[in-house]
Amino acid sequence: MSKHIVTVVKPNLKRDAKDINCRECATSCQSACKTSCTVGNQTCKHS
Amino acid sequence: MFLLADYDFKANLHIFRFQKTNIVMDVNSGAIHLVDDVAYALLENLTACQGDLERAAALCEGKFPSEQVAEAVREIKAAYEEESLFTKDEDIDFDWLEIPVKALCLNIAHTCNMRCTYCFAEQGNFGLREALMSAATGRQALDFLIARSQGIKHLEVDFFGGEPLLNLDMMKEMVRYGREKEISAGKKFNFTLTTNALLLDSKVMDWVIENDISVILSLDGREEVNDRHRILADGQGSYGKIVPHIKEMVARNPVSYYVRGTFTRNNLDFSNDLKHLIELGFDAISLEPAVGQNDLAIKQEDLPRVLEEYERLTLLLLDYYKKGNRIQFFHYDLNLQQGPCIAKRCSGCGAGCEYLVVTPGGDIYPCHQFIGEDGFYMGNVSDGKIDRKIVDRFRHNRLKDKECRFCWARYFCGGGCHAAALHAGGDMSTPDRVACTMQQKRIENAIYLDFMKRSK
Repeated sequence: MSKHIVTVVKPNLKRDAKDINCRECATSCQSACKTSCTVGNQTCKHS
Repeated sequence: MFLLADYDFKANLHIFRFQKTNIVMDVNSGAIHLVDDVAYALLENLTACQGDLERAAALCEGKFPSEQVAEAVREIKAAYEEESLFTKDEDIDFDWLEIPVKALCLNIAHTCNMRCTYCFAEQGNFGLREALMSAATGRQALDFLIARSQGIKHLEVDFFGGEPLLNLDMMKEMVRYGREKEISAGKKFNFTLTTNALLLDSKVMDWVIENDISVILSLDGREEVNDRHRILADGQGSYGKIVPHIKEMVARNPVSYYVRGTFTRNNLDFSNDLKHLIELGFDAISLEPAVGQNDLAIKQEDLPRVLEEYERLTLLLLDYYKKGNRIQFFHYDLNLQQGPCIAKRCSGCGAGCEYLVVTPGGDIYPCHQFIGEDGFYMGNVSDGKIDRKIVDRFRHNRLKDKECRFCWARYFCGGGCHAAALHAGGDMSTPDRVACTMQQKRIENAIYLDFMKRSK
């Protein structure tokens, strides 16, 4: 049991090649900004 | 074996503290850890000692009990073995020349019924001739999008300008046409209307609701703040006219909405504008810094104040959350566990490749901020051809092509705004440092807020 390190978000960026690059998620600059690019706001449609 | 002598700690590990909470981001895996002061010190030392864990631990002696340091060392090693710390960067390479187009910004009106002082469209027409897009050109634009979208099902169309409600009938025809084509083309359009809300009357609202249009409603916050810059053609403030419209639109429960404000050098206390928008009853809010080479855009010397204000804003949102008020603040709305894949994160906003803008005359540019810019005209929807050299330029301007590849925030930011970089420093491949600093602060704060919400 970890005392000094608590993982609150598990590793999630290393996915199988077949599970990435579908391009279905929203385009970030289409949304409520139009002046900042924030890809981190999008949710994977495969989640 | 624990060997990190060649690891780029600065680029791949981000350690920060906010409100006595120690947060560690393992950039390449997307893992995020909360650590105590022992592990925090150990990781800081490890970075300074370029991966020498023994030396890093030795530097902790006298500051923390030896047993705790030893425990923390074991946990760090375990996290390394489990690939949640010190993970390697992946080399992603996709063929961007053939990337499908999936999003269009349709500037259906190069004219506006307001004269917002910070408008990057120079009060609606980008310095070009005033014009409205015809239905014929609009249909060509949608056909262009469908034709170039390959197998992508979810397509996005944003009605923009200028003020799109000045071309309402045409916009209605676009939605009708789009919905008709959805069936035969096997696509699903997400239509968004960005509007100053001046002409947003109940009939328009009916249409928005009936047709599942997402709305972005422009309002800067407090009345005196809004009316300083969001002014009507006669110079009067717009707050009194637009707030009732925006309230009514939100009350009608559109499929999605954001109230979107711009903050400038004149309201660096913008958390008060967020508070005001919340008090007006809105729970989906976006606040963006003014951009461009003008007196209102946030400058380097404003940053200490702006960063402090983002902290204030974060604590405000947390306070609301604790009181049961669920506010969606756009920049803080991060899906940390199941966000976009690495391919998306590496490709950023997609301007010039998967996201394009179309002017009233059907001209295509890489995005709404490049309209009329020399060297960026890509073609016209009438023949559907686009200049591959320009696609190539954007294809080679992703985060891995720029100094962004050394920045810990890269997979949340995506490489920043190409236009901001070009306008700030004359070079699209050098990110705008002021924008970077704000972006980094927002990401840190968003992660803190996410953690705090989970632990309530």
